[in-house]
Amino acid sequence: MDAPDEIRPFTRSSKQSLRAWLHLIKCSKRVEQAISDLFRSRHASSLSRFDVLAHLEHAGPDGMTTSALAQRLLASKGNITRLLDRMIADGLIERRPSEEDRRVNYVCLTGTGMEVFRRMAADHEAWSEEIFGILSDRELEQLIGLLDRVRANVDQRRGRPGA
Amino acid sequence: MNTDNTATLPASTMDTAREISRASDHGQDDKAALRLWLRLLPLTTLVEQELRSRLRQRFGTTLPQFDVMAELDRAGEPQTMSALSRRLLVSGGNVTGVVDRLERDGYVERQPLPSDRRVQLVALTAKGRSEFAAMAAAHEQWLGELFAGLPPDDLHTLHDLLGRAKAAVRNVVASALEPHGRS
Repeated sequence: MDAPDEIRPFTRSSKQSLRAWLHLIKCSKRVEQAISDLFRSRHASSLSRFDVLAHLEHAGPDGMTTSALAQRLLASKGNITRLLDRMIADGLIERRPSEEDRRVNYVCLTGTGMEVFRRMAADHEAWSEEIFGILSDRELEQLIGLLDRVRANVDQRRGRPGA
Repeated sequence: MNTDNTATLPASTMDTAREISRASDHGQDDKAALRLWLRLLPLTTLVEQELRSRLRQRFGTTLPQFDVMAELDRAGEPQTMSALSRRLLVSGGNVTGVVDRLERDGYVERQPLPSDRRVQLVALTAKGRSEFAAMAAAHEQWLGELFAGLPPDDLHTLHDLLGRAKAAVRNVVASALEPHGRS
């Protein structure tokens, strides 16, 4: 793997890789910004809220512990607590102490939260379709395939510069 | 510098989207657009995190610092703080903090605009220029490695398809935000 002749072909296309990366990052950030703007204007909500709702929907009626949720969201604990507090105040989620250990809190969706999540998820999907509708079905599949191949390579090389 | 927070959110959002896609009751298998989005953001986040970590380890620098230096290098002349801050929208840094840090390290210097001394310009120093050249070379080489899964033709296709999708985003948002823009 470390043989120099493994590296040479990569450096040859590094300019092209850089250009592809710049399109990738701009495309991602624009889509992210777009979805986030749309959530704000159409649902008075945010990507982080959507993220919380989706995790709780997936967790089912028992919900999940605050710390498990924080781990999935990868945000700092303080931020999560404030976010959850606001969502509780809005009636989207509720907090329940665990039956086995009263020090542990579970959060779960309320009926309203579930309804809000479904509406947001439907829009989310429709927006994705509109945004990427510029590409034909064949091109979409082609792009997915290309990104998967980049992803597989990135997974192998993470944390190993020069490998 | 609070940069990593912004980088982590998309990945988890994409986890979320994956779950929605799985849990969705529309029963359709063909959700190519959603599947694409599920790959796009996590891959971007992953590569960005990898670049952040390599920049930190190899050069003791951050992505916003790198981006400011890249913008100064690209412009080829001193820039105002507001021009730099527009560029930083991408990497999510606070431009004053980033420039302060670069100035402390001797990579940039502040100078007043000759025609209006109240306006501060930021310029790369000679030390900053040579440090940036080394960083940019490494950055490009890392990307070459990270995208090495694709031969040149495929890289070209990737660049082209992403370019078209990128260009389409704005129109879609504009039409979705119109009161009766969506059917």
